[in-house]
Amino acid sequence: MKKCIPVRLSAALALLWLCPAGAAAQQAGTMTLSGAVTPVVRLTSGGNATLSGNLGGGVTTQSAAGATLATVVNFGDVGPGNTNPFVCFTQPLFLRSNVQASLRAAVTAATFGAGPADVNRSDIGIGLSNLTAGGPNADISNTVIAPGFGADPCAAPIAPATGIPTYSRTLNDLATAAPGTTLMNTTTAWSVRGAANAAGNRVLVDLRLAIVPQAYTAGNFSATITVTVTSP
Amino acid sequence: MTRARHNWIRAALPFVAALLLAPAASAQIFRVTSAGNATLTGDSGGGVTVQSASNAALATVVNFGDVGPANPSNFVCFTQPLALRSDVAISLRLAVTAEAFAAPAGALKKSDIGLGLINLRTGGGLATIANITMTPAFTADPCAAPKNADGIPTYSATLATLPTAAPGTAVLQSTGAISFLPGLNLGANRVLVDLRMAIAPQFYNAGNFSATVTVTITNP
Repeated sequence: MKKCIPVRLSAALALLWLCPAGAAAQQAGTMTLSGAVTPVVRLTSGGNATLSGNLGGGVTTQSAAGATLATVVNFGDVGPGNTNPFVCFTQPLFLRSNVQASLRAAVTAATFGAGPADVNRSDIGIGLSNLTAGGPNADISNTVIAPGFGADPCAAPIAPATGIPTYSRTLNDLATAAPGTTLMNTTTAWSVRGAANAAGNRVLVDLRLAIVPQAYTAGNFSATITVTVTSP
Repeated sequence: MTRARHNWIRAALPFVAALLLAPAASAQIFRVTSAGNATLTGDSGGGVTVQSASNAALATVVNFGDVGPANPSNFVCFTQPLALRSDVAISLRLAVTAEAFAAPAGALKKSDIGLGLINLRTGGGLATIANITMTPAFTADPCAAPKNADGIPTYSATLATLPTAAPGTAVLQSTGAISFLPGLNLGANRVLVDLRMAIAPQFYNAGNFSATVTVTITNP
């Protein structure tokens, strides 16, 4: 009986070798893959804000480029003691989206005097300027600035006789609840590839506010503007 | 009695060795199977939803999850180990046999999915990789692809490199047998290689995508 073991072993191996488990002209398998890209819209500071034409005042809290927008600015004295034609505030913004998007603004907090000669929201001009693609992966070809918000408030016409400016849009044109009034929108993505914080896929635009120093009633004012990007 | 048994063994050994080492004239065996569970890393909400067990037919299903900018990972990296066995020259071929990608330029495309084969190795003493060459473009690890300053990778090969009909593009070839006893599911007679696919999360247009990659082994 033991003499047969090698024979059986050899036979078994031969059987396995000559009668393979599978032989075919080709054999195939599949890998099925899927995935998704969720909608993303982003608004961050585009760098340090600037203030010009101010008497006193200044940007007291800056928002670094790429950081959350939380800038604080003191316009200083905007009364007749300030001889500049405008006190002009500029906040660069970075915008990114992979869907259609809108840039909106609202005056979500405000303190203004009630008198007719007090500084009011209608005395603070607002506009967007310098809309540019930040690089090869940014697209502004389908971006439209809402009527009136494309004018530079720091270059608003001033009536020679009165020194009173005519702004295309003022804080009075903004809603009082976020997300607020649409300043600009795109019907396609602003960002076409590139990582979340890539320089080449951001859209740049400057948000400007302006006040013409005038003989307002002495006093103080404050306002908070909330800027939001939404995907409509 | 013992001497007689030894004589039998001596007589049988050459026969067994011949069976093991000589190519069979009548059988042409070439097989590709899964070599074990696939893995997915860097994903946000995805996963391998259908695994292919080791030595089973390859039928893996993977969901890459969110590959948009909300995913902070460097790469979403999928790895499918493959086992190859043959007693003849073979080619491992790939094709994208089904797909659904959105049309806009900003949408994720086949060219955004890197592809490569890495970690070519034998499973044991009954396999060889000495006669295997890999198509150069497919030897880079897509999960380590270089990126430019904007985080956009440059892959050596992508799904866009592949044809849409099987068996498709040869990514690995042998000039002869790579296995001894290729008809068996032995660990030692298989050649192993990892097929990798990678997506770098970016600002693609929002949406969905899908594709089926068919892996075929042919002679040659």
